[in-house]
Amino acid sequence: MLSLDRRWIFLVEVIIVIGALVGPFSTGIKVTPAVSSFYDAIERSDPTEPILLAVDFPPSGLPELEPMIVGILRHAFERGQPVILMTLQMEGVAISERIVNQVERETNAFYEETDEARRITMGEDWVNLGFRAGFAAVILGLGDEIRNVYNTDMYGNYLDELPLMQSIHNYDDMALMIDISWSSTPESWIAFAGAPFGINVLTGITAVSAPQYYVYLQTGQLGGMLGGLKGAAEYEVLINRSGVASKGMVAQFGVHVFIVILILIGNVAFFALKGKRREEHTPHLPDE
Amino acid sequence: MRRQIPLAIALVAGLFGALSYFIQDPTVQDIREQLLAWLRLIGAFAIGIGIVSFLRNHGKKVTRQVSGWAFNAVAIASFLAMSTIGLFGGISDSSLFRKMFDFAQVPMEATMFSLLAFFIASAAFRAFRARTKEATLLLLAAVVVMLGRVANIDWLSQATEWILAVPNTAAARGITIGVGLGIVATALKIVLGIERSYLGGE
Repeated sequence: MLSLDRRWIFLVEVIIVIGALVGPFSTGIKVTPAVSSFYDAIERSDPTEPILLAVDFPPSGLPELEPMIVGILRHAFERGQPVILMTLQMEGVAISERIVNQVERETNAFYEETDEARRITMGEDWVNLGFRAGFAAVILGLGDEIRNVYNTDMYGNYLDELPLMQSIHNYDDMALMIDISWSSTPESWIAFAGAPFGINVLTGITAVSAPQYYVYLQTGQLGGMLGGLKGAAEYEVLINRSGVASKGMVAQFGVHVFIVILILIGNVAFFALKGKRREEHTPHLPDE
Repeated sequence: MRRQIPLAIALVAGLFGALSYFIQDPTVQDIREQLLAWLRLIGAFAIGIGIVSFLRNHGKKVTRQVSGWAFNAVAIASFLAMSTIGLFGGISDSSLFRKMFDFAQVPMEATMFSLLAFFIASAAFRAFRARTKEATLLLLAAVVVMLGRVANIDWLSQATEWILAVPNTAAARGITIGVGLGIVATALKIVLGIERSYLGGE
């Protein structure tokens, strides 16, 4: 049993993932306190003040983190709350632009369908500042004056020419900041934006990094957290917009159960083999 | 003298960086802003150094034709292709650069990350054994968290939250405080000139 060819494991896993994604399955999603705090922080914030959304991850984080950005943008646009996108990671520029354009198109199509006059537009409802090198220096600089760090957005428009940015100068003019990340960038946002300037910092983070941020949740230095695909799925439940994260949870459910079964089988086989070996090495005394 | 000047700069800049946080005088804040701008410039130069280092390392392997040099050549060619396309064709949503990013880089990176799920499953079967008390505890915690994150069962979800919020946080807090104190100690050593390895040679 222990010498099972691992390709069989891969095959079963592929079948589970494809079956879960293609099949008509769904799974119940329970909302955890971290996600509920995240949602409440946005709901409680002043919708006239923008959300600063930092897209600090490369493409490998997309499966877990893209549904979070989509959810946040949908939530903000639905509330009429503007969003300022930026990134400390170069690849974040292309990622944020694609997602914000997609959500803008989808939201405007919905408004058109429902005969609503409102439209989401760049410059009024969202602005994409793009990338700046310097990491902590960028975060600290935004606390003094955004224009010292970004004099234009990523398309080359001067910030003062963009209606949304005319009255925005630093963290004091923003409702909150959200860092979507796959590494330690939320810690930098907490240390260099949350602590010195008092802006409420929230994060969306890959599942593997999420456990290290419970420390900051408990101290209140993080206002809320979306942890991995599960966090994104919980957030979809709260904003009432089921999406790829909710569907992905079916695949995650199948794979997690499969891994637990593998652990159990592996351990049963291991102890059976150990018992057998012990029996073989125990000297048999002759019958009296 | 070659060492004293950098040490003096580190002392002045370090003390000023720490104290300017507490002094709200406009002149001090203006200087602080200027220093932050310099820091951002240094960050931008670091990207340039990264590119030079990347090209030198891969270039050496290609010219010496070390084992697997073809992969190094692909890395250099990909870098040059993306840079040229981005510089001359722009990076707008409809550009070739963006198409290469969305349809080549994104799937490749996603594939690399997705493969982890398969290796984790295989490793779970082969290596995750309850050999010792500590390993058994780790295994039980892993099983509870894995199931608790996906199954809609109250007690399992509560147990998962407890593991994450109590033992996990206790350990993470210890590490965080340790790292924080380490950062303060190292910063002080650099500012006071005790730690000089950044000058090279020692």
